[in-house]
Amino acid sequence: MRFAYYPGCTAKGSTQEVDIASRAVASHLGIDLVELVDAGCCGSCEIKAVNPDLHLMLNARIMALANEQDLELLTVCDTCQANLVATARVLDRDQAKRSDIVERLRRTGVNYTQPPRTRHFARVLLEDVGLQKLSEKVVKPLSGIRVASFACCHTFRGDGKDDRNRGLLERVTEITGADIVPVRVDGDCCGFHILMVNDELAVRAAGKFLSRCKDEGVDCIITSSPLCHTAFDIYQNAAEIALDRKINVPVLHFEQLLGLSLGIRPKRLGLERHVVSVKSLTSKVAA
Amino acid sequence: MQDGQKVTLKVRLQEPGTGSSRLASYDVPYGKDMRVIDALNWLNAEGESIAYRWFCSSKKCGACAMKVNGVPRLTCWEKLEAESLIEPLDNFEVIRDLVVDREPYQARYLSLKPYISRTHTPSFPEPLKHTDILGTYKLMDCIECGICTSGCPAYSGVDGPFPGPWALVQAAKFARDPRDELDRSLQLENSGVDLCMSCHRCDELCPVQIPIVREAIEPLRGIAARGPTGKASFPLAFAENIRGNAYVHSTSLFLKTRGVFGVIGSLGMIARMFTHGKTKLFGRGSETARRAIRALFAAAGERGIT
Amino acid sequence: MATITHDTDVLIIGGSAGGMYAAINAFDMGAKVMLISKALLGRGGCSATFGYIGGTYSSKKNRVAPPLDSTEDKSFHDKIKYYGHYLADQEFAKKAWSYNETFYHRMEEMGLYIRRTDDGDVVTSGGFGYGPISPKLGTTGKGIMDVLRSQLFTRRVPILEESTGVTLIRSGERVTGAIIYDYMKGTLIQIHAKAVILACGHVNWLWDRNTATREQAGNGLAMAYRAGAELAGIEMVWWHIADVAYPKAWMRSHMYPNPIPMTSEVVEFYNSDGEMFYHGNMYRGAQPSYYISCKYLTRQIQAGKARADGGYFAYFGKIDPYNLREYSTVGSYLEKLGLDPQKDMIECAMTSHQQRGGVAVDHDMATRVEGLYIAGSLAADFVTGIITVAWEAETAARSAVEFARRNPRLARGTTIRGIEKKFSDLLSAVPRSPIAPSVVKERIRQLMGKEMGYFKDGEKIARAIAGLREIRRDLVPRMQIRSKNPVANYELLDAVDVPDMLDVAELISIASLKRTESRGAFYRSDYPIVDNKNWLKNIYLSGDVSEPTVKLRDVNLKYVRPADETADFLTSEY
Repeated sequence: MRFAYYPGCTAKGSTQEVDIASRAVASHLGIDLVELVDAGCCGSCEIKAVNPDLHLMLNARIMALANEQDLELLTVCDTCQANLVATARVLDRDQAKRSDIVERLRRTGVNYTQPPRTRHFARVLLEDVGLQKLSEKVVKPLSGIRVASFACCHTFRGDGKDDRNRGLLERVTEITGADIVPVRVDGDCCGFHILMVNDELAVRAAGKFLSRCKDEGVDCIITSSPLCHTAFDIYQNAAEIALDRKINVPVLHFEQLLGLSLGIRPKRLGLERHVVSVKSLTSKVAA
Repeated sequence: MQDGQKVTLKVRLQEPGTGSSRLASYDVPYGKDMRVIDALNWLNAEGESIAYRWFCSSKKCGACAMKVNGVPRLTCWEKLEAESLIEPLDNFEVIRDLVVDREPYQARYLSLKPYISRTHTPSFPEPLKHTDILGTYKLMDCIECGICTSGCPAYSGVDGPFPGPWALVQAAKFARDPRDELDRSLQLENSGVDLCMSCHRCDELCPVQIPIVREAIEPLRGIAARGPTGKASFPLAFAENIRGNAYVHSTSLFLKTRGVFGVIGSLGMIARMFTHGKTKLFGRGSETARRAIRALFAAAGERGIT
Repeated sequence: MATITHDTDVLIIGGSAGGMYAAINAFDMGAKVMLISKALLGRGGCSATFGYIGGTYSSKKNRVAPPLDSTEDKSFHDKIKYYGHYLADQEFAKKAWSYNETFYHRMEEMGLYIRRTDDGDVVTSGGFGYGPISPKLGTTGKGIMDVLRSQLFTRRVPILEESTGVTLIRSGERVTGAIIYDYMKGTLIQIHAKAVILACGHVNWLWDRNTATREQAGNGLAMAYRAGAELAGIEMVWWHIADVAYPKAWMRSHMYPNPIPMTSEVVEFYNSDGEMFYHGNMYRGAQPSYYISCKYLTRQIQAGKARADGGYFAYFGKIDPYNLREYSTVGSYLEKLGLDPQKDMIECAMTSHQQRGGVAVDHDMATRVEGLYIAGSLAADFVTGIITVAWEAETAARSAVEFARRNPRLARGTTIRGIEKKFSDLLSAVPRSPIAPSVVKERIRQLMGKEMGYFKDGEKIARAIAGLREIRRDLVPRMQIRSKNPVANYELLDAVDVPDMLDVAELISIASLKRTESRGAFYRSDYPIVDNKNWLKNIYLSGDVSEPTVKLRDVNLKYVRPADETADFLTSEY
């Protein structure tokens, strides 16, 4: 199994442990990740507000780069994933827009033809490796570990949504042998996309979910988006201040939780890079 | 469900000015294709005095929105389940039972000038194509039911910093109308539109299926970003950041957005980010990447963005 | 209950198309205006939910069709015949129908988007191009209301929403204001005005199945009547066949028999045996073929293959689903029920829809009561459509503003104290064997639905009248309001509405008994003949409710007359 790997910005930057852990898990499972090194940013939720065509072009180029490798595209960030899928849908549906964008890209040397199959790593693992095979590879079942998953809003809402994204993190949790604790409700949002503009409003939103995790005695939270992770991990202390409540719940990227159950050492999963210490979890797992 | 089958409704009742509510339970006989409001109407016809607002019961007046089993819904549109908890909409003050106060919200968004401002036309029909009006067309379906604002995680009340999707759909309806001539950028940059979290909950809940984030909020953010004071210009700062670095360089973006005082205020967090290897002083994009991204910006007509 | 007092030049009661358009015009003419809306502004009444603009627009010639003596299908005669059943004042109709061009122009200037094609042509339907939509068939009324509301915001006209008219204030023979009940805030408001325009619209809510909105209770008709105005033609109630049967909440949802925009395709109606018995193109002559369709349905009911409350179905399968989706909201109702418009049928039932009569007015929209004007479908105009409403509203505004210029405001007349007492008595009443006002309202509506529906005869109408009087005598004194707080007190609102509903329902029934013929949408099985020999007249009521003064007056047939003296109703064209 070989994929064109698009890490996006955060997975190689402020949450570099996503890249580290994804590579570790992929390598462990015999999945080859061919990084698209010069792909650039997908535009997040900002470019579409200032220049919708530029947004389409940024994403179409990433897909064209994957096609150059003649590989399916694999992402590790749900916002990147949604942007890519949404772009493919627009260019498929609107022929006039498509001609315009393709032509403008061509003049910069980019050749967009068809979108490659584009999936998030979580879906690739569950669809291509499969629940059974993954379960068989678990050597360290995380029995008794209470895990609350937080699916990124962009996986099930918005122009890039896909029904096949529902329940992925729960199935990962199930594979690891940990306990699924349902905490997230559809009305939650981590607030990431306004952190730079109004962090107080953002952390209040994140705080609602974090607070309920604390109420439920959750051992850790898992995310499939490094952006959600940022809101819950890097900004957990800010949320505690806004809530006037200690939370101290470690937040893991799902690759890390899976990696632990597959027997990969914590250091190889970048767990020391989190702002909220994962010790409470790793000591419980080791026990 | 069968005709005549007993269906249970638990309704949250509240006397005006008390602030405390109670739950009352009712049994209603099910009828073919019953909507939630049919059950309330049945109870009303039987003499129950639940206060609830509605006019058309056919998805045009927007008055009958309530929280049904925890989710804000248009009660004339959603089918009745075997068990329902009916409560007033979140994020609005309750007047009585299921009736909420819309007035303060409407008063607030009048500042966004929800009306057209244009010069006169000589006669009907004015020269206009459907393709000209596509930007605002879907927004005309808005029935102002309030469900989007009720479910919005960024909205924190009428005095909060974010106006909620309802007001923004109405503002966008006019801002995106090619016949409107008002420069709305100053109002919009003061409106709080830049505080949308892009979670698309409003899209998910909208009973008339307006893609609110894409059709209303993002275009308004674009207008606000280019406003005269620059207070809503984060999208432009972001754009400039990736134009220069190919990838997001969070250190310089943080500096640009927060300024020196913002950085000093967040020194603790920044220090933690450095010690945990979560940020670097220099961007990671190669020269190839930067050149390619700059070329896309140019091709999209973005010369210099500051 | 708290009471407040306001002064204004022109007080407009009615917050739908007629009221809003009158307010905009009166404001622009320089008057101080105040607008009262019983529903949320522009969200109640017929206007909030109607489907398309009925005025003719020719897409072939890309212009508004001229109103008179047109060589196109929608000629003046056709409209008098099919719209007005020959009961309309023809000079009045001529004036009202001269407004097409102005209406389209003004609405577009105010920001209304009248749907275009990608090439810029106005989207209409049918072979002769009628029914412009904005934005879609099914939500055109809402589109227009949104524009009118926004125009009121920009003018900052003082508006009281969720407030209902209780009584007009009279000083001698002149109306000098009104007392309003804000049912949301629980306050009474006394408004002194130089002129009053009532724009309270239709009263379909009096029947259990109707195309109305919840707040309609005939308050406008009742207030005008009590102030000394005459009512005319209130027996002429229209009926629909094409409204959804289930869920009941959607009884306003109309499966428009008119051609889908951009096409000449129409929905088909099937009986319970699966036979197609009606579609809009069977009848090229009648533009709103609504009451024609009632006659076709009647034949099916008589044959036992349909009922008034169901057993017949609308079918969209022969319509291009793209057009159904793109230009109409109708398909969304079927889809919400899990039905496929291509394959499935939706059950329909009859509904009461609009009254062609109302408060009698002259050509300046003035009633016979000084200072009192009418705008919109509350007027006895015998013509229909949003364009007529707009003409009436502008005319009423002009008349009211003129009157206000020439006359002083009077701060005397009917005292609010009587009303305050009435409200406090209602709130404090502890009757033996109490009954909820909403139950009484429901009884009225069930009674009207049963005895005063489309299918009437003298006995049924007499039972309706007797039943209404019994309700007034026996149930009204038993009404009890359980919550004593007047804020958002719907029980109190219902208790205030019930007497108006009874009065209006009784007057409609009395007028129906008087008309011993059938015509248009008015059907009596004991008089199944269209009688142009004796009945080219309108019935005028005034004075008392149970014993009104009844006058029959000849219709102004200035331009066209019916060809036949009599006709068999069920096979005639009108």
